[in-house]
Amino acid sequence: MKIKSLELRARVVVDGFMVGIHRSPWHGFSVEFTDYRQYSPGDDVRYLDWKLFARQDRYYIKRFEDETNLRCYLVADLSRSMEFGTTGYTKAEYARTCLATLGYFLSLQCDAVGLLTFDETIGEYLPPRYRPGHLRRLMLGLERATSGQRTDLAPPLEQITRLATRRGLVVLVSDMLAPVAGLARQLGYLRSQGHEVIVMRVLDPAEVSFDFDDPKIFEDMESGRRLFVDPDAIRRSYLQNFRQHAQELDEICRQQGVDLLTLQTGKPLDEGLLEFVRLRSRYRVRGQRRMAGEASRPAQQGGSR
Amino acid sequence: MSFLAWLFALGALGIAFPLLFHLIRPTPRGSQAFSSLMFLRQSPPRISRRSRLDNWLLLLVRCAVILLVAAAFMRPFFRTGGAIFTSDLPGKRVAVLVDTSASMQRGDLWQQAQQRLQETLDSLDPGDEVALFSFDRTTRAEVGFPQERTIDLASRVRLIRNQFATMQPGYGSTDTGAALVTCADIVTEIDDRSRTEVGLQIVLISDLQAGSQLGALQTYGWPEDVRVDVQAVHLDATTNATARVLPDEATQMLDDAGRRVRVANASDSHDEQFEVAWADDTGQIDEQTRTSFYVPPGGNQVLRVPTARELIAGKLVLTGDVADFDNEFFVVPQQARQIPIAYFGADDASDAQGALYFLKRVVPESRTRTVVVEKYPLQEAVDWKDDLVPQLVVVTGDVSAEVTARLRDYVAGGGIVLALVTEPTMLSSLQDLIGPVRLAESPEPADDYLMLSGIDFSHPLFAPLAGPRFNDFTKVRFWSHLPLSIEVDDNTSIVARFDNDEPAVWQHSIGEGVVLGLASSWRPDVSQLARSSKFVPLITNILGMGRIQLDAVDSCIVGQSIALPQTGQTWRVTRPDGSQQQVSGAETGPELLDRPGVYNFRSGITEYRVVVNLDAAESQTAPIPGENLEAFDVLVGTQPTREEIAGNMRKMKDAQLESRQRIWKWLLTAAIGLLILETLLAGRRYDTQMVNEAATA
Repeated sequence: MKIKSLELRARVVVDGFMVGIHRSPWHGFSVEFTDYRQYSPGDDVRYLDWKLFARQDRYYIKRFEDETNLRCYLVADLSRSMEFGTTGYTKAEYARTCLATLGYFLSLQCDAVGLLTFDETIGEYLPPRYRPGHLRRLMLGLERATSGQRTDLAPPLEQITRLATRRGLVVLVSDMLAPVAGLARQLGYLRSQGHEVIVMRVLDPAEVSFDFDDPKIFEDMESGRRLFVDPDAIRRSYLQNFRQHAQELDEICRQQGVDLLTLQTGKPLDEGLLEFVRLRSRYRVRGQRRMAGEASRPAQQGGSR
Repeated sequence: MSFLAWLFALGALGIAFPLLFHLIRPTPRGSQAFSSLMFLRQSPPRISRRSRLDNWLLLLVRCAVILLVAAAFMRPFFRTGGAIFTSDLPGKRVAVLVDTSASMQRGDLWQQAQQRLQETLDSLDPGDEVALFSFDRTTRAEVGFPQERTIDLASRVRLIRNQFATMQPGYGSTDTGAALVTCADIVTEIDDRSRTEVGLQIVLISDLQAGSQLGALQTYGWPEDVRVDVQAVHLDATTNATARVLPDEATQMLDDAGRRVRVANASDSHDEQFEVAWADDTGQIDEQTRTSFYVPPGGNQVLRVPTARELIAGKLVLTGDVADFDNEFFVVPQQARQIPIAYFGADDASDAQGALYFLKRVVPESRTRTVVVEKYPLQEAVDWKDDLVPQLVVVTGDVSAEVTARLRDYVAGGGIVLALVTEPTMLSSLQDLIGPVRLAESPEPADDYLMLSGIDFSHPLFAPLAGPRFNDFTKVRFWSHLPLSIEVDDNTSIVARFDNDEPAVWQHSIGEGVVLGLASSWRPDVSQLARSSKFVPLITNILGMGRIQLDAVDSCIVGQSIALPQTGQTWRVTRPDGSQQQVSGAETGPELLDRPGVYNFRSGITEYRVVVNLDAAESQTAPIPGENLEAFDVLVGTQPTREEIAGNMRKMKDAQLESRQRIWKWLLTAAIGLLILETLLAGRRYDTQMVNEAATA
């Protein structure tokens, strides 16, 4: 976080990640085969799978990962609560860096990356593009985003649902310190449109352990409500409430098929990136299985005919 | 309702604490911004406005608890019974003891003493008794305690005031210890006699100088009911020094070489430079003899002060200090005193084998004493003049009856006769003089020499030789003696015997004098007595038993009594101020030598000069703290006044009432009940608050 430029910061993280990923089993996945689609006139005949044509007498175009034009929506929560931090930087800075890293990383893979920042309202919005200069604008959009007042997850998720008509990857970075009551419905909308959703929960270590010592007035950064709290007396109930909220969030994400990735600002960013890659590979395997199911289904249908 | 301990009413101020706690809530230090309070709840009560009192019931209960506890500690009680009035209580017996020693002449000490006396008299209550005593070397009752208590205090005070106006500090030394003992004895004796159980008080008004004597208190058990109120008077800035001729030179004749003089400076002095000069009896100072002394405070210096040849008697005058009372030291040369001895015997003074030969040489002559041995014929009666009456008469032969009768009269008048009875014929000639003595009927034959034994060492003749170093008489051998038989009675006693149990020395009293008999002699052919070391002290002891004091006092201090030689006539004393007084007793009283100077005693043709000086201790004028008296178990302090006694009695009565009623127990019980109520109220309020918190959360 000592590097001021967000882009440079993201590059350092990704380069470090790339160097460390040489022995990774997912090396070169982007040029590997993913699925098939039927040939349509105008398609490049170089990608026709002649072997499959020989077996099935139909033209299929081989789709490779690098050919996949992934639309990724980076949704950043920049509410006032994200300005909390005890490790020398705030959760918002950590989240920006994380999103910039993901954007840089995805742009390296030629994926279209969009941005949406929100607090209680929608802030910046950049539609997912893959073109020269877009990454630059994305970085500027992240740097320009100012913190709002309170967290309201419903509007940004509804906005994404309305704007992202094409299937894509939605990465929601937030501390999720808000009631989880309506979250299941919003996530359900996204999932129903075929989006893959990864929720990256950014937390400060103090929020996880609540290791304050002296009794103080605790002031809510979003609402401004003041409360006298004796940490020693209240720590047990806090941790209990915190865990219960985390369990509810985890349950909702599990029910909706949303991956929940919890990041603590005290840990290095590349760990989060590695976890992201692991989740992405899981999606790819899951997609391959789905493709395999779809491919077998026409054959079965064709066979029956 | 009354309270025993009013001071605990301050504890009621403790209600300020609950008031404060209800007004001021604890304000936490600092604040902590936190991402979300959705998981937190408030731990202490919510902070509210500080200017408003809430929970009135709780506050009142807490204040009531504090008030009840404070009231319980105040030990309340209901006063019953009659009141105590000071007029019903006995007064004090106050003895005012005023120092009139010479040191009180300094500065305004006497005026201060008068003021202290006035303050003491003003502080007396109507029922008090008061007396006035003065002291220096002795203690005098100026105004004694009244015989009856009916005498008005105002008249007593007036009497004391008038008496004090006639008093002045004298030249006496200070014996504070004896004065306190005397006063304590007087007040306790009157108290024991009257059985009034009043407070006994001694008010000591003195400068409490370092030279005052306190020794009398060491052996005195101070009565427990007598208090001494020390009213010390002092001078802020003073200097006092005194000059004294050293004792060994004080009696020597003045000469050119001068005399050694010690100048002592008091430890509280401010000056250090003094001058000493001689002055004649008229007060004229010889400037040529002026000598400077540098003496730091508390120190002393000895220098030789030159004297003028013509100065026969005079005084040493010191200048340079503030206090003048001890600046003169009187000196007179001691006059040589003649001691006549009469000898009745036949031997010649030049006969080395005779008794007279040794008698003339036995008494050593000194600068102050000249012994004249006069030989008288045995048969001729002598009529001595007043100034020639012998100190001792020695009889060694047969004297006529007329001489015997004259000697008897001499003895009856206080004279001493020593009879050396060596011949049986002397027994008859001295029959009326030596007592019931006769020849032994069956004397034991003496084959060898005899020694003295059975010596009565309590007799003045042998008493100075009673010590173990001096009581060896074995070297005194007697080759011949007269065997005698003596009837011992009230006037006759045997002082020593020979070792064959025959009387050797006996005493027979006649009138005021005594006759000593020796059944032998000191002649060399009879005994070794004259040539033994015991001879001189024995003769000296006999002379000491005479009427003239061998070491007659020529110098003494003010107020001292001196013994006067008995001449049968009165002494006419000329005092330093020129006044004359007749003294007839054997001793002068303390009031005769009442100031320093040279006193002239004359009786007939006999004349003595006695020089009287101040006591050296009186010049030690540095004050000592009054608390030093406590080292002698003297109870220093004041007796309580009648108001204080009445107050103490009221307190005792109140304490008894309070311990009987024990109202504090009920108050504490009520406080405990209120504490329980407060706990219940506070608990219920806390529960309600928690419910409200939960609801708002």
